[in-house]
Amino acid sequence: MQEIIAYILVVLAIVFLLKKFVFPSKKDKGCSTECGCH
Amino acid sequence: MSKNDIKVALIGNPNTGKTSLFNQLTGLTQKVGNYPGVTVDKKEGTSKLSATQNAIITDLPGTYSINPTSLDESIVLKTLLKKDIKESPDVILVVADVENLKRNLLLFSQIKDLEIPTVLAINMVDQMHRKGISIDLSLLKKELNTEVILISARKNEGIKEIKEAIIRCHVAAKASPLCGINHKIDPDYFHKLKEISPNYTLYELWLMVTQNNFPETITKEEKEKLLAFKQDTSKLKKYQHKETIYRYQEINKILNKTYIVDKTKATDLRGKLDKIFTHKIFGYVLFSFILLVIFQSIFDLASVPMDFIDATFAQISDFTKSNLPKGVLTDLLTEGIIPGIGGVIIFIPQIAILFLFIAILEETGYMSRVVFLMDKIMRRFGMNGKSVIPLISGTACAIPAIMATRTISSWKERLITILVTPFTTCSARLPIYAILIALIIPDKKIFGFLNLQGLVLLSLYALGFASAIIAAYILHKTLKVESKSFFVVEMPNYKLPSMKNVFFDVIEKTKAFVFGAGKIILALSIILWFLASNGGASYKNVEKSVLETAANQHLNEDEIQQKIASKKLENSYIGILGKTIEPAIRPLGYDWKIGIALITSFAAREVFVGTLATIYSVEADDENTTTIKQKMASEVNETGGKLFNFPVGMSLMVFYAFAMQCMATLAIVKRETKSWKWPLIQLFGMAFLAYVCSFLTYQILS
Repeated sequence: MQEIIAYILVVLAIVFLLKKFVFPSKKDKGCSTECGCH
Repeated sequence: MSKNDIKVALIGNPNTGKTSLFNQLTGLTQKVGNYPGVTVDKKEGTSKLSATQNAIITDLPGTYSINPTSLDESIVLKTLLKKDIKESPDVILVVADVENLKRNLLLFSQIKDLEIPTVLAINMVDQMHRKGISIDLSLLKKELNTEVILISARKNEGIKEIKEAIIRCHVAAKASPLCGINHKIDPDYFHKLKEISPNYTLYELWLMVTQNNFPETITKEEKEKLLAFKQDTSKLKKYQHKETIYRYQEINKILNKTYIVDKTKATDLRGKLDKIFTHKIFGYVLFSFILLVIFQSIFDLASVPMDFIDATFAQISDFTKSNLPKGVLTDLLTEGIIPGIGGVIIFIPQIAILFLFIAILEETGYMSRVVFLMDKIMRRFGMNGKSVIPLISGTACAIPAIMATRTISSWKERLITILVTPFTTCSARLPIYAILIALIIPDKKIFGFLNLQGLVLLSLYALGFASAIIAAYILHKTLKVESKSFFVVEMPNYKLPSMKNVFFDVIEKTKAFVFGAGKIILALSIILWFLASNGGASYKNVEKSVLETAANQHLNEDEIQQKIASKKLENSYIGILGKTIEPAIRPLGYDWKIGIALITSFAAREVFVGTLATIYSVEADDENTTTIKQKMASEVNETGGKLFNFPVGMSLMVFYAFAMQCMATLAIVKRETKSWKWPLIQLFGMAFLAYVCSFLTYQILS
């Protein structure tokens, strides 16, 4: 069970980073002056 | 948005308190500052005007007129010329500063001539008495033929009256021009212009011709006719000049009857303070002293909460390890997620202190004096005084700083500022500097009161600023871009900082850092843990081979376990990656583990510390080295000495001072310059500089 949860978290982390840096949504690009895009 | 909502556009000169009023009307907490250029993009919020009536309020960038000279000002013109029923404003709320009413009314007179229902809000009326100003409000309303409300957005005075005036103005839905430029300048010329289109007012058509800004709704035929008016450019310039003169004549006439300034009642503290703050010698001395106090405080005040956070995360990790059943998820939590997140949270005290000081300087009005003071220096290096705002905002994050360059009217100066702003030490560099300084610089006082660590941090900020202006000078001499330059800056009044504004500013910026960086670091920590805890065939055989060699070396159980962990990391996927790049970074003094942190922090610099925390957590199994600082301090190099010694620490700090390790900044530079050329030049130029400088630093110091 621990293994399943851990590997689901790994997949989610990869998807998040891909969405953030490789395929950013339009909303991410249109940040205002206080966007906190780190 | 409901159909019945009133669309209100908030327009005014820079630094008249538009954003403060926007926050009061909408209940939002957009950033406000006592310096011009805080708003460079439009922002929207909803305001409840009455029990049955809502309004959509749009806060537009500050502008002195609707003849734009920079990118942020052109947003105002575009919004006003829109004829889209969903987007064009129903009511314009012009915000004016009571002390500079004459100049503020120029913009008001232009907007009034667009024949859109307009309310004039005269802000900062709490200063009227001190400045010896009195206004005949009823006569002013009559002369301007509009709703005029006296407000103090900071003190929440007059907000209810503004809401009522917006409703009245919307219901009346009538607006007449104030100046009627056509009759006074050239009646025949303007009569012909008006005949082009019945859908636009005369002044809208005039703006399209003079500003070359045509809305999408205009027909091709109408546009061609308007372009014909542009052919006689000398006539256009002459009429524009006359227009401004007529407007000021009209404004003077009105203000002579309604606006009185009694200089005998005014107190001139501002003048005295300005003499000191903008003095050609004392001004710089004072600014340097303020910076010194800020960086001393960052180390002195933050050390106790930082140690507390570091120890707390170590305890959480221990607690989790001893209370959860052994397994992969427990390892992920204790070696990946908890140390990774700890690597962000630990820097909250330092970041909050830095933002607190910057917010206070902005709120008091001192920042505009810094802009004025620095203009002379900036010009020598190919920028202008307005470049100081992006460079100072860059201490928080390069992204809003690069967007703030929209206030710079000269394209060449703007481009140079965009390209050099990432040299400014941003909050993402602070964690790297803070941890490395704590490791390599002794915590001692010089002259009994100056903290050495604080001085080194100040030097790194100075290095960032110096690099920015030297790079600007080189770009100024090499870039072949023609553009005109001028510099106008609003000198706001000095104010006691509003604790509410300062508080929200610190909270918002710290939140942006923690959540923005935290999400990325959390995700990277999980992936790093996976890559560090798995590997190919050699990874799987590590335990067996270590046990075989351990038998010959007479190692005890603890030493065997440490060796297994270390060899496993070396043979893991991440270990193989680190080992591959090691030859390239070895001349800089870095080992393969630091190399991994360099790769992961390409996305965002602040990931560096979190990455090392995760790598060392996977490797170490020593109960005495639980905090991030302890883990880094206990790392040894091949010779058995400390890995993070003085040459390596300095080399790393120099690397991060120059390297462009931020993908989000590259994306924003691409957006602002509309080309990949500039972000790529920035990326490779800064990477080359970082490599060469850190190589020299390490080789000289070691």
